[in-house]
Amino acid sequence: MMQIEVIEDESQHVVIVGLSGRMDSSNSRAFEEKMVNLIQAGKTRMVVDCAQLQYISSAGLRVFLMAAKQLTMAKGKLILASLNDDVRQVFNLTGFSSIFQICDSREEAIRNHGD
Amino acid sequence: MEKGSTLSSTQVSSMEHFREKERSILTGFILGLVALAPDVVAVILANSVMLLSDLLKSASETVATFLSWLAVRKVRRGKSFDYNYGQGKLENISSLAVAGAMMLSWMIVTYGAIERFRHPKPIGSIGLALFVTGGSALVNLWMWRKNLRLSGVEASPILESQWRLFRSKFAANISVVASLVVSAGFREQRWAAYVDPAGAILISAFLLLSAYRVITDSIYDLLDRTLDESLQLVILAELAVYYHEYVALHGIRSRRSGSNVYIEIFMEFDGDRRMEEVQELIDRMKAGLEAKIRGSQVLIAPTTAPAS
Repeated sequence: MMQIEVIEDESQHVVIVGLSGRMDSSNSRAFEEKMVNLIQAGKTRMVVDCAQLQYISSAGLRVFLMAAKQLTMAKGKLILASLNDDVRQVFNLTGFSSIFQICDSREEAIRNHGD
Repeated sequence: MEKGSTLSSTQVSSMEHFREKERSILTGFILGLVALAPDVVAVILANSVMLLSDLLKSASETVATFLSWLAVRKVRRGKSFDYNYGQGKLENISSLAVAGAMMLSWMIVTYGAIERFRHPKPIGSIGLALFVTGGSALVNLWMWRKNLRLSGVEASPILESQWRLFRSKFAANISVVASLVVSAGFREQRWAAYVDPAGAILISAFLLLSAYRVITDSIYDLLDRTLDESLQLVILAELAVYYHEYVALHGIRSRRSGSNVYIEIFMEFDGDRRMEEVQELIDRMKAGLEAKIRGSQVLIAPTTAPAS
């Protein structure tokens, strides 16, 4: 079971997507649709807060990769925040930690969008 | 000599390996067939439900091994225009036949054991049974190790099911020998009559476990399930290496067919790049992935739309 929460920080013009639970092949499609809708709506400055994300499978990683590419084409940016040890290990193992900017907290990620 | 008629050393090595696989399965079938005759005599002399169960199990497994051999032979000879993707799925179907034989044996063994629990009988002469079963144990141990070694060289459903089959046969042989020794050694004790059906139940547990593994693996592959998680992560790691070389990822598809692994990646490249550059990049990615995933054939399709 995974939950997705979307919050807009209007002062910083950043959309924060909060993920909680486990992301696998059964629910990654919902995350993909949410990200595609946001990008098509012009929300190109994004933070994905993974503080409550317990597990991510290859299906979830694939959505991150697709979203990052779409944001790059739209001149936007995706920053990840607050990965727990297990999720960070998967990112490190696949080399994804070298293609995403990863911050320790949501606040730091929002600040980085301003830089 | 024409260029098209020469074989590379890789092709020759692959064909030799395929022949070795075929020979290994045929050896298993012949040995199984030869062992059946003394097994029948041993069952009659010992009057053991466990030995009867073991005989029925061996007979069904021998038939299944024969079907496996036919499948491998067909796959080796069957490279034709009629089957562009090979006939790897025959291996899965053959593995299901092996599993079917295991399930049938499990039902027979369980029924026989329950009947013997209800009507316990002392066992008869076990000399020949011990000799035959001990010999079978050695042969099955050898076949188990041999198929396990071959399956380490090639990810093949048949070899997987074969080494599991011979492992379960070896375990069953050991159970039979132990049970026979205990039953005969404590013949005067009332409880000794229950050792024989208890051993049969143990054999059935091994069978059920092995059949379950073979059935689930083969059915998932026949239904074209995507590759397991560890291999998916290998694909993504390769895409991360080349992250800056493509502009969009439109999809990844993967499946298994027998020993073969098929991976299709749909990617979009910068429209300003020359086709030659893109092709060179595709070749590198393909070679990298095929080196990392045993038995894989990778297709990278340049596209501007998501894969359907």
